[in-house]
Amino acid sequence: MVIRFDNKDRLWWLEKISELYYNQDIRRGELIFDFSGLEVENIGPEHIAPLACLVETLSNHKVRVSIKKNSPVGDYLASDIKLSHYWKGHKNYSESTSNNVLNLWRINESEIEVHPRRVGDFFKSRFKGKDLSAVTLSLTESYYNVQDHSKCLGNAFSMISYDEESNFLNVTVCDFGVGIPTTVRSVLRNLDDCSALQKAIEDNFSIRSKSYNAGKGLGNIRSLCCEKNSYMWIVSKKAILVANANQEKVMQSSFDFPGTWIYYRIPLSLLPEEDYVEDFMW
Amino acid sequence: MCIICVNNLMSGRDYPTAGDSLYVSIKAKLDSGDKVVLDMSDVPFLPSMFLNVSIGRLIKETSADYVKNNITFRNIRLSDAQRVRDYVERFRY
Repeated sequence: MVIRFDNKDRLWWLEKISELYYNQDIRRGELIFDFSGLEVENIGPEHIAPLACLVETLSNHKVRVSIKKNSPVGDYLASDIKLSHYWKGHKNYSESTSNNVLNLWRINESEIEVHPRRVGDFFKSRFKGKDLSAVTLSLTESYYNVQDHSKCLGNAFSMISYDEESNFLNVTVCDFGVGIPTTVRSVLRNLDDCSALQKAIEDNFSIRSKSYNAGKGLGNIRSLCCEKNSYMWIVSKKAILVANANQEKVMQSSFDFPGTWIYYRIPLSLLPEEDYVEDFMW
Repeated sequence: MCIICVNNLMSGRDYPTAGDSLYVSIKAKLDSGDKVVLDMSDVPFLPSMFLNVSIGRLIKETSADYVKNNITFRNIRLSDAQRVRDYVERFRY
């Protein structure tokens, strides 16, 4: 069966992936993903990370997934992103051939602090003297959130790219777990998906599932998106949150995303210089 | 005044465990009447799962003012200094 991805719009992509996730009829035999209608510049981490989660689900159900070759995106996913390494090769991370891509990483407990450092090292040489701690901090917070709350059974991926032209970093973390609203409802029962997602990014809100949870994680990510032209999107179950420097908006989605997708875009031009305080004053 | 090298406590430990070690170290010094200086040389960054079980736990057990009066930092990255100030000001339990 051939499945066509011919629209670059993020929400279209997530809706398509959601439909395929819930479609039991495709969970047998073989699928061919066809990206013929798209160009490489049309897709980024926000598309590839949820696609990886879908492939993981299908792979777990012994569905054979392949990519139709001889299209720009098909060849890019095969040769640059090396998708087969993650399933046929059983790797959690495979270096991309592209200089501007920190490739797909399958989020796993043993590397949860290693990968943010890997990201920091990747960008250190490009941004000498710049304070990258906010970037690595946001990744660490995201990955711990997945580990602590998602119950995704290992089906979670992250991917990062750097847009040289605009000097922006694009980060996506995606899991096929229970979704943020479900987690929030474990402590606040009567909230709908939108209200639950709104609650989750409130400062100090935490379900306190672990001794080290105290509700700072999503807030740390949110605070990165307070600069001009930066923004954060979260899609989880039937809720969508969009936040930028000036506002936050939560709306109901037309589809039920089977987990959580977080995408944020932050300007690297506004990263501060690495500066130290010798004697700190409160 | 007692100096604690935070990076030494972080080496080889995950953030929650390192934060717990820091809490134990700070508590021991404060209980013996010392004030504490946290040397932040080579510390990569300060995630919430580290702060919550160290500084956050101390705030819960005492108060934000107690932490400010008895703990300070040196060789701390400017952004981390701001992060710590914000953290202590906004901490609620």
